[in-house]
Amino acid sequence: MPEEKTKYNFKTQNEAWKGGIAKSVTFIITEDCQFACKYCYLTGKNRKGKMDFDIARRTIDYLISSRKDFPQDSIIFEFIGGEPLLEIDLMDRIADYIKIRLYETSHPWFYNYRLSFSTNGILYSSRKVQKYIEKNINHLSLGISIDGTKRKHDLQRIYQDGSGTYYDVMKNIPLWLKQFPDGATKITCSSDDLKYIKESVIHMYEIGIKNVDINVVFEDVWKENDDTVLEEQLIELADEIIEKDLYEENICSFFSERIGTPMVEDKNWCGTGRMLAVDCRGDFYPCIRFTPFSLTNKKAITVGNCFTGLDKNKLRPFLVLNKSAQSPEECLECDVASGCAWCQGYNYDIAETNTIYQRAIHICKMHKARVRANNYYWNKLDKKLGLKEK
Amino acid sequence: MINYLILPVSKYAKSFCYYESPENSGKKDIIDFKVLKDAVLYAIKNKCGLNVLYGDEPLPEKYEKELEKIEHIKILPIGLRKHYKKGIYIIEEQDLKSSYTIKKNNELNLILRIGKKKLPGLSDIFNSLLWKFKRLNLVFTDIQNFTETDFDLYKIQLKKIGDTVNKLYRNLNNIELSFLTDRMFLVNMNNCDAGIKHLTVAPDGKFYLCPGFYYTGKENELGSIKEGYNIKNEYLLHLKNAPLCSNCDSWHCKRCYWLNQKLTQELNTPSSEQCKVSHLERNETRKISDKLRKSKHFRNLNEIPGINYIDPFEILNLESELPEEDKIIIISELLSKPLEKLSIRELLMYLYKVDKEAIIKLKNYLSIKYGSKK
Repeated sequence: MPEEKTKYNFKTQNEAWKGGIAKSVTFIITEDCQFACKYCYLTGKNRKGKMDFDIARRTIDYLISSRKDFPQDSIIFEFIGGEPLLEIDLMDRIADYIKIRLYETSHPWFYNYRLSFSTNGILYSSRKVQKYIEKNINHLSLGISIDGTKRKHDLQRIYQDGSGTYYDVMKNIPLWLKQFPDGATKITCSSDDLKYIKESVIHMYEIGIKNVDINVVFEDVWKENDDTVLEEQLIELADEIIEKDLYEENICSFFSERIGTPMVEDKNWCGTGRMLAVDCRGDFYPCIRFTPFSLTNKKAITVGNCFTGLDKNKLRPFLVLNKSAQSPEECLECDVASGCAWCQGYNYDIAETNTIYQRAIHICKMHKARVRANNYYWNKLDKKLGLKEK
Repeated sequence: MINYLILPVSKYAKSFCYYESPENSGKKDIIDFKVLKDAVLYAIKNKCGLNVLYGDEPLPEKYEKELEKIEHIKILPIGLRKHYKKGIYIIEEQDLKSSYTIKKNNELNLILRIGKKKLPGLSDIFNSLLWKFKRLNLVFTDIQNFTETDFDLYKIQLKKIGDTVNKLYRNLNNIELSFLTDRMFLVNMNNCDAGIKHLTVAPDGKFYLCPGFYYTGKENELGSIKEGYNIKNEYLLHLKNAPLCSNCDSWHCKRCYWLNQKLTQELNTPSSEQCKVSHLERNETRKISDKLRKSKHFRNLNEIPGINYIDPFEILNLESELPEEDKIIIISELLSKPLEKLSIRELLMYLYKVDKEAIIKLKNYLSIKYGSKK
């Protein structure tokens, strides 16, 4: 791909806030959710797990007083669930405490913090949530999860009684986009809904969501010919995006200039261990995927708690994780390795031993299908924009 | 390839390493004769040697006769020396006083197992044992509890012992100390290698990576003498899949998988304490080596390079990577110098500062191309 192409008129992925080097701290404020999404990795959702303010307070005090261990110039406080808006009062109280303590301690984070959460959207327009948004708007990142067209969305994202959630989510999308015009959503694809990918991405663009982050699940769910379906869907999507000039205003993360080359960097895929998650008991985790309610087969991995601080020895395996130590030979020699993702928590949950160093490769053929469609996309875009000639 | 088996002949067999075996509360416990017989037969059939770990009691004659069928090494508490004149002897803290009465001997192979409380007097302990051994292995039983004060204390003690070792070597009295001389003579990693070079057959007739895993729980079983063993995710035992250790040159370090699992929950990742202890030893060994190389007898000793860390995690944790601007400054500095006047070492140091991965790749490439040859 020519390096110059980003000079031309098409939208590219937004850079992460502060170049992605901000510390990310996740408060798991509730383990409850109104939804029962079929692909949800939180297999142990429950109504009991709710964070007490004192746990959040201790965690914030610990973070602020341990500058040596958290030297980053900026920080993202993320609130997660379950569904975080079920605990909007707590979220508000925690956010206030963060601001007050950062101010009182003249902490550099006072000028460089963000509050962030992703919601299923159904409580978005409530008075309390709107008040929270108004109060924190300049420091807030907020995403609503919507999975595409009604038939795709309702295939996976359902209430506990099995009914679809599409209309209840959709009714709040206009307000959200009014308040967050660059709002992005994340579409998750499983085997049954692959055939709706094209229409779903286009639907997102049509309702005004310009930034669509999309991925296939990492689990062992893929059937024969799923890769063909994915490839066909993405090629149809590529045709529509390019023919209708949708690339000028919109992004679909499936198409990226950075994927489909042999392994270049020997780094881990995700930021597990570099971020920090705290649950309602005050235990620290490398990320939410290592909490008890995220794991099916294995014991949780804690890396300390808000009472005694970080257990740095437990963090070491996460912080030195690289691609080569955990990948099978076929991945290291793969011609299209770049962009092939994995989830450390899922890897751990299904590993043959209690290790985070065994990579699951169920998505192998899906990644290769994506790469083929991606090559098609960029070739077609190159031809249309005449980049090579220019 | 498994070259030898470790066989504890009692569940109270004395630990010779970092793990702890249970306290013997006076009860007699001895391996079932059939298990011992099967283990010996397995070792013979598979061309393995046998390291036999003893408890406080000598073995019955019948057992000893069975063991005589195969080449084996006895690893014994020092208290059994009166019964067994040949073997490797374990000295624990409570044995220290009696061990001082050992007569002069330049053949003995000793394992000294002590806790951090003994650190302030370590050089005195060493001096009391001097002239009574050929080789001394040092094991800290509570390495996981070491604090910065303990590391400082150890450094001081290493320096004192190092001065003695230097004098001894100059007089060509080449004693072996696991913690202060091994690194001088190594050209590559020389670690415990459980699961690669040896396995443990426990009194329950099951295979384990090492006795430590036997004492930790049944979930660590790798198979049985009857059915053979299967090490799941065996690749995690190999150096190339250990991001920290594969970038380390404390080649004498035990790289104890049991300690790794206990403290970091990963077989392939050492704790900070293990790394720091090994590096303090490495760095003091370097000082001895530097002095000795000035003498004609030791001119060919390998140079141990200077380093500015005592835990490789400090340089591998990519979060502490240099910002782009600093990298540019370093590259500019490099380019401003006449390259032909730079030593390979300086060049590599520059490269390392700006791109750690490049140097790791180079190292892996050289390792593949030239194998274990220096």
